Amino acid sequence: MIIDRPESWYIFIFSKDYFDSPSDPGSYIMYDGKRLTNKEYLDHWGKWVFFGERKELYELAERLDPYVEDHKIPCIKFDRAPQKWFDLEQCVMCVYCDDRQRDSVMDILSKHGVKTKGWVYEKEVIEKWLPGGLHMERWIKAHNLNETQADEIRKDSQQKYNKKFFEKPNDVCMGWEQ
Amino acid sequence: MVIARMSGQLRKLAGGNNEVEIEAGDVKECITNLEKQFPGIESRLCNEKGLVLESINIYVNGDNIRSLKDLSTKLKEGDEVDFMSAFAAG
Repeated sequence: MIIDRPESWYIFIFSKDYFDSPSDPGSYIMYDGKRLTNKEYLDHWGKWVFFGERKELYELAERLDPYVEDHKIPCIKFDRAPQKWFDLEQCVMCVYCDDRQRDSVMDILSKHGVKTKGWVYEKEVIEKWLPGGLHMERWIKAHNLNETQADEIRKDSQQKYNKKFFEKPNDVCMGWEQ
Repeated sequence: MVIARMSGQLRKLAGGNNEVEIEAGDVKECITNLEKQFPGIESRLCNEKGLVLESINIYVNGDNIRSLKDLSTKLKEGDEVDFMSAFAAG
């Protein structure tokens, strides 16, 4: 099911049964029928990443939607517009899964014309959003924050990710808001 | 020969080409040979010390070279080398 809400930066694809558990936002984070713990999430969860124009990614999303519905692909998101503060000129699509199933997911993507092969672990992304991380510092600069504001953002980020992922490695992973 | 693919705005560095076939034994040689075809591309991918820019990710068959042997990552016939902005992974 394609979730296209104008107030969100991203357009998402989740299976319809994801919405049966609204209080469990991490219910799609699974491998082989089992939920991942925070440690497993950091060790195994990631995404295939590739660029495209918004229109072509939307058309691809419609073709990939059935695979998400069948749980062959856990979740997909793509940009509504290029992220200019990162100097990106095209939209990015992220196709999420556990790395142990990444080859089967790439087989699906290849069948639908995706050639780019770039696998990114979510752990890498989280680290880039921590203080001093590539994304964090670029975002701060692009939004012209003063040093006090920037420090507040950095502190919040550290606390948020510590609480969500690092402090309780054996808890079931609930994902993170994007 | 390996396939070198440029994503997003990096395509401009390769004359607008998405894919280029290149002879290369490792990633460093791939970049060196890309530079011969597309002068100036190397300085957009690597710094003055020859290290990959933090803002660039290079993947060999899907794996980030930073988790492999970086620029010394060996390439074999048919390998796919993808170049993209590191910000794409946000």
